[in-house]
Amino acid sequence: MTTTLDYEQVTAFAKAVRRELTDLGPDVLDDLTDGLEADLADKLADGEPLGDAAAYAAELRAAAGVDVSGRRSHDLDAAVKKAFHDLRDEFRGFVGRHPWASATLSFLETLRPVWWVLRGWVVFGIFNWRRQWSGVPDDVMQWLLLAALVVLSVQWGRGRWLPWRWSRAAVIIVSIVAVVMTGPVAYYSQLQLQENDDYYYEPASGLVLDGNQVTNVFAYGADGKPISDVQLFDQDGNPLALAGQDQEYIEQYLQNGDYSYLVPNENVAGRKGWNVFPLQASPEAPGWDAGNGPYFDDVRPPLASVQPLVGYEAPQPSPTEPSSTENDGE
Amino acid sequence: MDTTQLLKGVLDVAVLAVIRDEDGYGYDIVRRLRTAGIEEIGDASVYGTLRRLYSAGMLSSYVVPSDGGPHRKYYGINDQGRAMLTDHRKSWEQFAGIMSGLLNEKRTARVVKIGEKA
Repeated sequence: MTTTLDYEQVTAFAKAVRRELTDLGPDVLDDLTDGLEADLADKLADGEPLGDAAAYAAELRAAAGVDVSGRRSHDLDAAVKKAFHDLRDEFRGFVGRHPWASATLSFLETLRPVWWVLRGWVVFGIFNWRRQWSGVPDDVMQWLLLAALVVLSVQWGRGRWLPWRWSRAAVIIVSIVAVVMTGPVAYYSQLQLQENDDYYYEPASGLVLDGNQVTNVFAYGADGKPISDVQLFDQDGNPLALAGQDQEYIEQYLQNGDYSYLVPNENVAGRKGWNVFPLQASPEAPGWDAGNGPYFDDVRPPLASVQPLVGYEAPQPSPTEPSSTENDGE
Repeated sequence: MDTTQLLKGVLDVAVLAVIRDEDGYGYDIVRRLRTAGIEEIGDASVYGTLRRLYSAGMLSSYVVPSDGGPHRKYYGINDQGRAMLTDHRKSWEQFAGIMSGLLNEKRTARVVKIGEKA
């Protein structure tokens, strides 16, 4: 049975021993001194003095083969840890010597929570490998998973939810993977967002008027009557084409819910006559099975005629051409 | 003669031997060693040795909570540790035989080399 006095002595001694061994890193230290208090208490109970903590620590260190002087530390694990600690010490020294470095570091430390959230998101993206590592959730389950991972990552950042000795190692590995994967996940997320945009909005090609695609153009002469086979060009002499040369037809939805396919004029040499108006409709989409062809309608001008231009004078009928109106009555 | 130097080489085997039949925690193992006659051994040396054997995969370890006191860390030998113990026992017996022969005043003329079957 240990008395309170013994216990205080034991904890103080164990604390002093651990302080002597901090250079070994937390994992080795834990391995080496876990349960030390119980053993020391037994030792006291057996009537043995605890002795000198520094000498005790040195003996422990030597027997365990983790002497940092390198005499007995053959194992790779210890060597890697030593290298890591050396690097860390060097970094701390550098930061200590340069005020700008410590200012930058303290700024970055403020941003640590942002990194915790980002880490959760990147891990979500990695879990989402079926969707090519996209970090964009698109159903309730995915939102829940994302939320859970972000909470987990933040808790890790706060030093919580690390039940096992190897938990910290796991956090380091996950963090390294997350750093590496941040680029790909961001890239594929952006790609998916773009795809979503493409899905919702038809890309604008051809001619657009007030945001609506122009599917046909109707020309009227000075007399207000429709004219056909009008070739239109822009200010640079380029054909005012409603579609690209690689395009076979324009799908046109009609007001009655049906649709037809507008095709380029075939009488333009060397290219598709997408600038010869009005475009004519095809009974079915070229290349489609004609079996149940879509609705076909003649292209009718939206207005049978428009107002003639002011000052327009109809040409006098030639005396050699009999007026057709005279025969209408027959 | 101070046996401390001698002990350093064989502490690993001694520790494995005292937990061969029953798991033990740190100070318990120290007691067993002392009871067996190894009295000069420092407890920190034993704990360090336990940690090294554990790292080398010879031992398993688990923590047992204790009523009203600090928890105890128990060590048990595993198959790898047993194999090592068997190996060491064989070479120890051979070596001890040689040393006994060498140190015996009425030693025979024949000197047996280490590793050679007597």
